Amino acid sequence: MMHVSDTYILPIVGCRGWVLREGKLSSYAVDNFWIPKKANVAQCGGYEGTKFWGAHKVHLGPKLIPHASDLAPLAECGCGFYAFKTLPDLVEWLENRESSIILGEVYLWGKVVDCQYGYRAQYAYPKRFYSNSYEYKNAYNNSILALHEFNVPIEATPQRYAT
Amino acid sequence: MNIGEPQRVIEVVPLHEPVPSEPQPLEPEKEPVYDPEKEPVEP
Repeated sequence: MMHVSDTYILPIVGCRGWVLREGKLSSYAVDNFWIPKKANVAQCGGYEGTKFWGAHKVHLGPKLIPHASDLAPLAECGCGFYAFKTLPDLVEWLENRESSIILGEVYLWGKVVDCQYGYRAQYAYPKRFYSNSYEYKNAYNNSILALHEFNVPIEATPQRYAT
Repeated sequence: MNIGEPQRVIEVVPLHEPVPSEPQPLEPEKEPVYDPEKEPVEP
């Protein structure tokens, strides 16, 4: 098991995508709705307790191993709130993927698994959403309201990464 | 999301949770209370 090597006092900022499902903000790959105005806490239900979406079927999704849910994220498992370290890495990941993804930045804290190109974290909350992502521009008004409930800025994607 | 292999595990303990709080309701303005002792004195 990998042990904690360092402690930081500033939250980490990563880049990630979300989708709007049933009018609510959800993680892209798994059926996990994000809660406004509360720290979102990672849990791990193993394969049996996780509903994968889209291309992320069980056989293609992250490796999940059985462990106590409140230990998430475990370095050896694939659980936790995901984010890339940089926007270019996120944009590269988006290529050849459906356009219905809302982009943005996310705060990460608590126990964090620091990976090569991104993070998996215990706690997460959106820092900002990018308004010129396809899903945002084409969402119905009540879906847009779902984003406003998070009370964070909604801004244009930096020009060189705009889709 | 392919974020690569784990390199290390860190602990991030922010001084303030980066979660926006609900706006606090404004306190109703208090009616001014007449106090004759505080009446301004004419020069």
